[in-house]
Parts: sequence; C-alpha cells; structure tokens
Amino acid sequence: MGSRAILLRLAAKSLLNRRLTAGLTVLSVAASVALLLGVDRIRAETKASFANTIAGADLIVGARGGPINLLLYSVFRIGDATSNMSWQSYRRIAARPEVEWTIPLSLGDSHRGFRVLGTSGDYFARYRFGRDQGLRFRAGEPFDHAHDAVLGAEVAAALRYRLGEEIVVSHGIGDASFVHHDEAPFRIVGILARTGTPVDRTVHIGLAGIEAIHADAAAGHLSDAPGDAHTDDVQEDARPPDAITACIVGLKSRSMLFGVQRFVNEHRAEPLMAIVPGVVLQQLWELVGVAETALLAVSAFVVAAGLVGLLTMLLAGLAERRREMAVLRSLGAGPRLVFGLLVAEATILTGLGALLAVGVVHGGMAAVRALVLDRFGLYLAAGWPGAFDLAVAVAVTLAGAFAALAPAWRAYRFSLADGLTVRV
Amino acid sequence: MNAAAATPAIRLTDAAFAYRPGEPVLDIAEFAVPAGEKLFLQGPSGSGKSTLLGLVGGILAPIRGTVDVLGESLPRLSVAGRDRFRADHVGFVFQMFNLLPYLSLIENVVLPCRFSAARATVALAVSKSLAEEAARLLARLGIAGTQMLERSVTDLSIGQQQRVAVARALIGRPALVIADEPASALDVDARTKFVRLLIDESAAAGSTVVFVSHDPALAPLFDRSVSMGAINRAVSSDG
Repeated sequence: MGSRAILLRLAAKSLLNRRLTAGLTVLSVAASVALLLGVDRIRAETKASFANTIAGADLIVGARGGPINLLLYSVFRIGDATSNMSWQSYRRIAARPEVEWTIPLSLGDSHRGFRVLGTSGDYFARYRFGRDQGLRFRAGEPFDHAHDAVLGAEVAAALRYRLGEEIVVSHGIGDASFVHHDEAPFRIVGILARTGTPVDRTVHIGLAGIEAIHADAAAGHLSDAPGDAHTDDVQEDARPPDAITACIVGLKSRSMLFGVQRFVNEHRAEPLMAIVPGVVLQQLWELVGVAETALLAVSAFVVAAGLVGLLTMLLAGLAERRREMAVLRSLGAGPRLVFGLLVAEATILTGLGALLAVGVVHGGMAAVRALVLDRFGLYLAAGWPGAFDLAVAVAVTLAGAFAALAPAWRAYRFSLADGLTVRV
Repeated sequence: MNAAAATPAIRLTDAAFAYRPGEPVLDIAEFAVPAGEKLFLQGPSGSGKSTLLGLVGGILAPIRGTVDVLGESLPRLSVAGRDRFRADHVGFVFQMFNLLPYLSLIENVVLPCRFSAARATVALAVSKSLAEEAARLLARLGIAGTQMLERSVTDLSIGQQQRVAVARALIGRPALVIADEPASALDVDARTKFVRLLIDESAAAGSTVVFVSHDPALAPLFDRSVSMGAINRAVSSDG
C-alpha cells in the first residue's frame, strides 16, 4: 500500500471519527458555495429572460427622446412616453418597401393597476419573445370588436377574471385614476398563456377601443390626465387614430436595418427615433447588472467566510491531534505525511462541500423548474452543471487545500519539534 | 536474530545532541545494547531519555558522533531514509495515547504494516492475513473475542490500550522495541504483569528491548539495567 493510499484512508477515517464537526464544516462550505452558484444561476437566468423579453423585432420607433426610455415604456411598460407619433408617420414607415410588418402600440390607460395596450390584431401573430416564441392563447381568441379585451396571464390570475366578464378601463395610469370609462366596458374575449414577460401584466385592446373610450370621455366633458396626448375628437369607431405611442417594426432583411433606422431618425414631419431592441437591452442590462454583480461579489465573500470557518476548525483541532501526529511519526510516517494528512482532510471537506453545493443547486433547480415556469414564467434551463459550476467547485476545493497549508505547516513543525514525545 | 553476536542492536559513540547551539542536553561517550538484550534504562524526566530515544528512533540527528542502529549509521541516512528505517525496524510503545481513536483495534495493530512492506511480509509469513496476525498477537496479550475486538479504542481500559500498543509494536517482528514509560499509567499490581508480557512477547518476536522508566522496582525483570546519569555527560548529578 502506497503512502498516498494510507494518507487518504487515515484522512477519511479521521474525518469520519469527527463526523459532527466535519459534517458542519462541509455544510457551511456547501451553503456558501450553493449561494454563489445560485446567485450566478439566477443572474444568468434573469439576464436571459431580460434579453428574451422581446424577440424578432428589428426596430422600435417612437417619439425622439432617450432610447432606454423608449424601450422601457414600449416593451417593459415602465414609465411614460413624453410625446406620441402621428398615425401618418406610422403609415409612412409601414409602407416602406423594406418593412415586412409593424405592430402599433398605444399606451396611456390602465385597468386596476395594469397597463392597457392598444394595438392591432397583428400583435398576436407577430409579437415574439424568448427564443422566437409566439404568443399563445390559454383561452379565447384575439379581439375582434372595439370593446373586446385580451388579458395577459398575470392580469387574469391576479384579478381572477374569466372569459366573457366585463371590465372597465381607466384613463391614465395607476389604480386611482380620476376618470373611469364606465360608458365603455370591455368584454374579455381572450387570455394569453404565461410568457414571463411584461405581456403577462398587460390588458390588450384594439386601437379602435382606445379611440372609443377617449371619444366617450370627451363626450362626457371630462378632462384628460395631463401629459396624455390622446386626441378626443374621435367621432366614428372605424376611423384610424390620430396618433399612437410607438410601433414595433419587422424588416424583410436585417441588412436593411440601418437604412430604415436612418430614414426614421431623419424623418422631417416630426421628431422620431428608431432603436434596435437588442442594443438598448444590452445598455439597460449594463445598468441593472451592476446590482447583480455586487450580489455575486457578496456571495464570493461568503465563500471566503466558509473557508475561514474550515481553517478555524483545522487549527482548533490541531492542538489535540499533536499526540496523533507523534504516534504516526513513531510508526515511520514522515513529516510530509503529517503535512499531507491535514491538506488531504481540508481537500476532502471542501471537495465534498462543493459537490454538495452543485448537487443542491442543480437538484433544487430541477425540483422547482415546473413551479417557477408556471408561477413566474421564468424558464430555468435544464442541463448538467456548467463550466462555471465546475470551475467554482474546483477553485473552492483548491482554495480549501491552500487554506490548509497554514495548519499543515504548523503540524509539520510540531511533528518535527515534538518528535516522539508531546510536550503539551 | 542471526547476526546477534556480531552486531550490537544499538551503538552510540561520542554522540551529542542540542536543541540550541552550545546547550547540549545529551552527550554520550559510549553506549551499546547487544542484539536480543532486554535493557532497562532508568532516569528521571529531564535526564535526556527522550532525546536518546529520538536519536535511536531516527527522529533526531546528533550534532556529532555516531548512532548505529542494527548496523546502520542513522546520521548518514536522509530524513526520509530514517523514517523508512524506523518503520521497518522499530516498534514504539508510549506512556499513553498510543492508539488512533478513529481506527479499530485491528486497524491500529496493522498500521505499521501499512508503512513498512518489510514488516507486512514478515507478518504474512506467520499468518494468512494482516488482520489475522493482529488478532493472534492481541490474543497472546490477552485481548481476544469478537466482542472485545469490536470495541472502540476509547472504550478500553488503559491497561488494555497498552497491550494493544504492544501488539502494534511487535507486528512484523521489528528488530528493536522501544518502550517509553509504557507501564507508568498502570496500577502497581498490573505493572509487573504487563512488563513480563512485554518481555516475553518481544523475546518470542526476537526483538531487542529498550525499556525506559523512572521506576527502579521494575529493573530486576530485565537482563541489564543502565542509569541515564551514568551515560549522559551533559546532565549534572541533580538530574
């Protein structure tokens, strides 16, 4: 039997003998590493889901302003447009030969805290998210009439709405909007399947519906909320609106992107702006990602704390193990074996901890995958531990071995100084 | 021991050791133990006993002089070479805490064979397996029965632990057995019986014995008795 085999046998048996402290050390290492891996995994998933909020759209066009602001209100339903774009401009862009499809977006109203989006039937056919997934109906169908509404999954779940129920849309945003369009109740004709995007929190109605509620509001001599640019001179439902908030543009070919973008940005009739969603999403992520990077850094410190705990355990156990070291020396063990014994113990402890952490994180992900998809619409990618997980596991194990160098060196010195008799 | 008559088991000539330069704790002009002898080495603590055992066991290297054990000049060996020599040829029994608490009795006894292929070979010449040899030695020392062998080290009495330690020192028949106050923790009644057992089993294994103790009452059990004060020039007569 080689000395390496004895070393591992002794280290394993010795740890087994101290299974309570050793177990707790493994747990603390595992918990800290699991935190690190978990944070990284959630970071990756949120980033992916963030980037997957909108797909297949080549450009988003709105009134000139901040690109991030345009992305926020058109895609994430956060904040408001400073001004609208005219219907004429929208038609002009839609008529460009490079443009394959467009989705008009008209925002500014709400229903019990959820944003209302006025759009066209193309929305349900063209809107893409995730890895080129389209919208699916969990129940019902797209709106057909001016007073039809299609709910996002979360709206339906939160407010417990069913098909056929009638809802009332408020003018303005927020639960306490001043004006309720009681005159124009909407009938729920469709409920979308969960997407994990802001679509889930949106009430969709046709552009005609938007015009209708504002016509009603105007007829009732009720003032519009400030900052809202909807016109109020609509008299017939069939007439197109004067203005929309923004539009999503799909091109026949990506190569035409910059040409169309320039056309929009240099549009003379009114100041417009076209953004490439992927580019602005990336900018937005850089803004948001800082917090997640900070979280990752904190988890790294927790791992360091776990390793300090390991070091404490090894050092604390050292004094009472001096006799054990002396016995091993008397049996012919070199000081190097004594040194190796402590390093081996630390490596076994951190290695087990890291493996446990990888197992817990991945097992946990597998266990909650269905739940998370259903409740949050967040798709946790299945699969084996990735390169990062393995790198972390190996790095932590090596760090454990490295941390053990100090106590191992002490044990080495003890065993040289003590020789066969321990002076304690 | 075939070469017993020719080569002494231990021979120190003009050997000195100091932990700090200029302060020798051991200085021996001449000290020899013939092979097969059962030697009683008497001296109080601080008389240089532990240092002498460290030199003979190859843990310490002398600052001058020769330390020959079984015909091998230990100072000429490397540190690792002395470790190997100790594993192959020397069995130790200490005052207490000889056993590793996380190993079974059998595993404790077999341990020297893990460090020395030579002792494993000798043990396997006697019994079919190392565990069997360990059990045989334990039985000769009065530790037998499945129930006893399955006990944890920490559940044994000190007397039992010391007998297990003797079995471990003797497995694979090392040429030299060094016992450092092995009976001091035992009752006076048990002491003589234990020392007799140690001497008899060492004789059966053909091992030379160096038995260190501060208790002169045990001296008559041995072939010869030497006082540390008589051989160590470094310690004044108060030691």
